[in-house]
Amino acid sequence: MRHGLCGLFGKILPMIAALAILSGCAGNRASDSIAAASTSPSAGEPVQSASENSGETEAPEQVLKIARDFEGASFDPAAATTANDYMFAPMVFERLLTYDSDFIIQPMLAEEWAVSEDRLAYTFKLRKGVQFHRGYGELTSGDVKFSFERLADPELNAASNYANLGVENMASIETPDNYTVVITLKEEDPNFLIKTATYYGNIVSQKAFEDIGGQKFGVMPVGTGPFECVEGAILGERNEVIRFEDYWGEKALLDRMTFQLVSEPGTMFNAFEAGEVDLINITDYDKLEQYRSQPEKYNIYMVTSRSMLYVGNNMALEPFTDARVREAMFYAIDRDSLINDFYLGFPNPARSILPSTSMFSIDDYWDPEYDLEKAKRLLAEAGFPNGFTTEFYCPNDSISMGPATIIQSQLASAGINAQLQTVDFGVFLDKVRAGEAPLWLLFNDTNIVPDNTLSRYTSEYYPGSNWSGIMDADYDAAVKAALSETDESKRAALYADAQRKLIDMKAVYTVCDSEGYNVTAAKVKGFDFSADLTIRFDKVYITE
Amino acid sequence: MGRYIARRLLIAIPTVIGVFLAVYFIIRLIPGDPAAIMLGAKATDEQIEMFRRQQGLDEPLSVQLGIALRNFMTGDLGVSIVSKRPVMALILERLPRTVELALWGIGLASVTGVILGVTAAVFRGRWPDYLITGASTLGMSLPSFYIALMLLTLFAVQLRWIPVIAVEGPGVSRFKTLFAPVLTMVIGNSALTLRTTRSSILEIMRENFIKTARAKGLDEWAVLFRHALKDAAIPIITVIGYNLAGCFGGAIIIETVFSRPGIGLLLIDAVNARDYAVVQGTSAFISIALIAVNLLTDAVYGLVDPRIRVEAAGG
Repeated sequence: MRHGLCGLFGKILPMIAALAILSGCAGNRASDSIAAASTSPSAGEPVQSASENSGETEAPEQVLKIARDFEGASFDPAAATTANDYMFAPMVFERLLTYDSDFIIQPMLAEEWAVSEDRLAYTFKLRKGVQFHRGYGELTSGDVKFSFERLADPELNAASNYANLGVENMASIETPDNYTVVITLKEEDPNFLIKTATYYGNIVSQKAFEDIGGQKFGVMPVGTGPFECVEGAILGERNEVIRFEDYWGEKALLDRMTFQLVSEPGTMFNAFEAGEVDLINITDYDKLEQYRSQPEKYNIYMVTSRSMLYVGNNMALEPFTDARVREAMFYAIDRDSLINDFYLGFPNPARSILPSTSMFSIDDYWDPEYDLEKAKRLLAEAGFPNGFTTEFYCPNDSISMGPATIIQSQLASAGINAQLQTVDFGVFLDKVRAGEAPLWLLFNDTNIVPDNTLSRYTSEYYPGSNWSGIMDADYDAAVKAALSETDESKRAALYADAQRKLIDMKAVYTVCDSEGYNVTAAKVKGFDFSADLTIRFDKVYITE
Repeated sequence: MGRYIARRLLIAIPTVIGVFLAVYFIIRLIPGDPAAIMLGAKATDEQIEMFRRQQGLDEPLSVQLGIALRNFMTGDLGVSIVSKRPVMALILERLPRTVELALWGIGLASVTGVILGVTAAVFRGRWPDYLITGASTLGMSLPSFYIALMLLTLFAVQLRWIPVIAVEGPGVSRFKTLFAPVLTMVIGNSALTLRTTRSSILEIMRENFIKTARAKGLDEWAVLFRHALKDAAIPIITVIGYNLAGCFGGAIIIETVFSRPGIGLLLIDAVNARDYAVVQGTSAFISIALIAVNLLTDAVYGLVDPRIRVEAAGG
């Protein structure tokens, strides 16, 4: 018997509906578990938000909804590499120490610390009574030892934090009692204390890690911060934290924070303007201007990051082997126009090769001059009276292509025909690391201790991290002197000397500090940043 | 029919392995070191080397291929170098959302397309036909991201009927999160079904057996639904199968605009990060899904037209 199309649809549609319902039930697990976790204990551990636990008045729940455009692959702080990882991490995790805006070390999980005379042994006295989230007990010295040593685990993708914390330089980590940690270094490191004060040294619960397992820990890690994770997080999509009621310090004002990954900028702006999220991070200056014009609806908070816009040439490639050509390139760039016209005056001009928020950054040596005639004269002296053609590489993302196009046109005015190559980020890294990019542009980060940024331009890293092909023995010596100096009174001068030498080589041009703009709904109050440039969510509250 | 399906399944095995191997080599031909990408531009050479060593990326290509192929043949799609999570777990996490969107989107697009196609054919040359075919031209011409953004702006931003971020959660119903993404798929995918239905019906209606049916005194609706549609079904089913197959990897635009992370977004993120295992595993999974959809389409052919069943059984 032949079946008509109508009969066929009559058979197929119920099957489709059944499949959709089944798939919908599966897809609903995440949302159900987030909803459930917000209101019921996680497995074995009593976790409840304050508003449900208090039994007090019906004050509206303080919930901050955050959208972010990028997320790392894991919430485990050992694997953190992105700016958003660090924005999230400090409110869940803490370190032994912290620092203020003058880079002066301050206590955090360690109340006291001492350095041996030979500056190899560091003794930390832990604060007593600090509790881990989800009932995982009190912080002990064993947790500190575990948190540092585990960075060597290849399963954690912790290569960055392993290196930046200096774990390889740790000869031993001893725990003579539950509240004392003694770290002995192999070699003196004048930056060791400040390294333990950064997010590289976030402390996690050993018991929780061993109990939960590495993969699940990456979704719901356990720290000591004013906020704790709840179940139901989905990496690359959403997660949620609630106020930690047993926090050792001043409790947060918010009850909950939700984080939603929204990679499409248009969707993020629409969600923000529709009130679905309360806080976004923004790099679109036109949009920023729009929000700035509505102060009754939006608050804007700016923080200067440790990222800068770099434009570099490769002095190992022709014609940039000639110092006159490199100098001509610098004269051809109109930095003020770029900042005022393209960036609408928002960011500050760079004052050094290092961001102003890095240690030892100088601010009295780098002030590039724009002079098109000088640029043309130098090119003519170098044998290029009619200019020359070269390649100019930048990643094909929205924050790089704009300034690259502007600089390309500025260089063209001087006769430098820079053929813009906007490529995938992976391809860009391949090109610059292979030393094949005559000109390049990138927003790049510097750590608070700028050793990596200065040493990457030394001879031993070409090809590789030394994208500008700098092979200068004087500069190498200056960097080595700065990095190895242990006398605090001499370090600043040596770092300054290295920066000046790098600036003089005219291989790396810094345009501006990169500012991060966070925009909140007007109802969000108490917004502030800590000295490490992360948001103090514990001070934030919502008004209606 | 059973033998036919079994034969197709056997042929599918080398097809999937071939896809796996092709993707394995192609992804590695793309410039870009996954270690450098993962650690970022400020990573030092030592950090990058350490990462490569830890992830086995410093092993010879032949060794990496052997390990990957052995794991694949045992059902192990590997581990993401970015998240360190099993690829299968990542796929299963994203799959329900993709399947949900695909089934609802293609299901409604197919029903819409067939109904409108039949209507256009019945009213051929008159204003309903012009209206429907004109709308289908618009649906086929507009890029899906444009349709998605327009619907989002209209329903989420202006009318506030649905959330901007189309992910279910507390206070956000399933219907509201699906409405705009599904409507986007319906507008985009129904056009081809509509056109195919219309042209197939028009062609069938010129056949002699239709004249015979009319001569027998059957009314026009009976001629259309009991005779014409049955014969017009094959190309329509082909188009529906094609649309469904394309959903698994092709919904990335909709997933991005509506923030509904699915298989498509998983794949594109993995390509950008050079997360080899995820690219290989997801591509293999999509190829399996495509083969399954093609098999389903062939099976439906047999349901509609017994001649195909007989030929398949005999072949």
